Amino acid sequence: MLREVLLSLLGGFDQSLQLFCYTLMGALPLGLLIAFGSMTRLRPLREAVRGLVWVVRGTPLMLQLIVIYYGPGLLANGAHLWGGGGTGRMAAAATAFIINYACYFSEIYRGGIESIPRGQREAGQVLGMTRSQIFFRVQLLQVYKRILPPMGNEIITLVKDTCLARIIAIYELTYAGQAYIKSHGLIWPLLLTGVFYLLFSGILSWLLRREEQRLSYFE
Amino acid sequence: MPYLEITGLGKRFGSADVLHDVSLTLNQGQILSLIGPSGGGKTTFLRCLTFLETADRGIIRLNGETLFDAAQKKAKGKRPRQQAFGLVFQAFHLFPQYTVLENVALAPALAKKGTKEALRAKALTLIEKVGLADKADSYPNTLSGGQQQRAAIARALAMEPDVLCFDEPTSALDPLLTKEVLNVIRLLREEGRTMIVVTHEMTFAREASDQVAFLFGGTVAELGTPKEIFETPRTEALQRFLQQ
Repeated sequence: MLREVLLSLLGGFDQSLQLFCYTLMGALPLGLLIAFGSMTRLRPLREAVRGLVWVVRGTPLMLQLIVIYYGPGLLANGAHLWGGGGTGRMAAAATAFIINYACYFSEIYRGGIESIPRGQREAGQVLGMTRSQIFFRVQLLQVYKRILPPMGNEIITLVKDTCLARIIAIYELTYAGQAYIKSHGLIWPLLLTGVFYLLFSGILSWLLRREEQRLSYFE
Repeated sequence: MPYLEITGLGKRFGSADVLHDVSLTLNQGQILSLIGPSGGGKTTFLRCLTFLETADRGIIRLNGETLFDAAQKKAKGKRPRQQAFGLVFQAFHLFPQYTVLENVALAPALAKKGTKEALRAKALTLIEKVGLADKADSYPNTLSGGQQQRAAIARALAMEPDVLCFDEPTSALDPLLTKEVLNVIRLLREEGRTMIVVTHEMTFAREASDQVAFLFGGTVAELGTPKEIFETPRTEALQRFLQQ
């Protein structure tokens, strides 16, 4: 029985891990773009981006998942934007998660960028550096160091948020554990599920701490 | 013809007329000290000169070349030749994630001023000149304020500015560290560098500069040799300032 449960949970974990990885790969760069958008001097763009961030942060991720998965089909008279099957559902879930997390990340990026003293930019300017040189060679690593702790928080939250994807029938980890309540009346598989989450977030915390230590050589 | 010629420089922030009609000339190899009470426009003047702020009025000419002319607003899109003026900040603003050597060599490398080895050698020479040879591989947060400021001076020199400006370079330092920074500036003077120093160190302004300008109320209230400024101040504002 343990073996069967473990295999089933591993299958669920695979789905959760996939969603986790797609979300990070998409949301980390997209968040930076959104951060630039929310800081641009072009007022209409800035307002539009801030509006988007407001809507995405102000509504539940679960609601967004449902709208993104079912919305296109309903609007386009049953046409399947996401295609059928598990791949389509995963694509829809990843899209919703990427947009949602990118908006949270963008605010962390923005805070990080704005917290770098103005003198750093000015020092680059008087040394004749271009704006992009100043950003990439002077500010970026300092921003990275500063946003690491809040980013770590979001990433750990993401580990647990992946269980929301079950609402569009993705057989992720929590779903896999809960299945044994219905089928066998067993509770311990759910506790084992918790152990999976703990191990995963434990490894992430350890990696994040190591990264913070690596950057502790400067202030 | 003077080396540096500033004519009618002015800057407004909203309704505050921070700088108006500042005109100065400086010969090559000379040091100009800017003194005056806070709010007199010293820092704004330096920031306009180094193009961190864009002056509303006035002309900046260097060695016969017009670097800035507020009347020709067309130059807005074109970046002024920023490297003509180096700037050493009051709060150093070293790049914390880089060693002293990397701080000094970064901007010349980005400007492609030479091969990596050549730039490294040159950076090391400058670091040695400011007395930090043993700190070349140290990070800024391990240095004292005086060492950080000397590293910042080496960094500014690496871009080979025509005029090196200092914005209260010792205001963040205690007296002992102040001395080591001022000694570096004196050394640069012996090398014939053209420099503009905003300072509260009256002894330094008196001993080390060729010209002293007293900025008061956003304009040059008095300009002269150190002897004229310190021994025979003409305006009441300067007399009062020197008594403090």
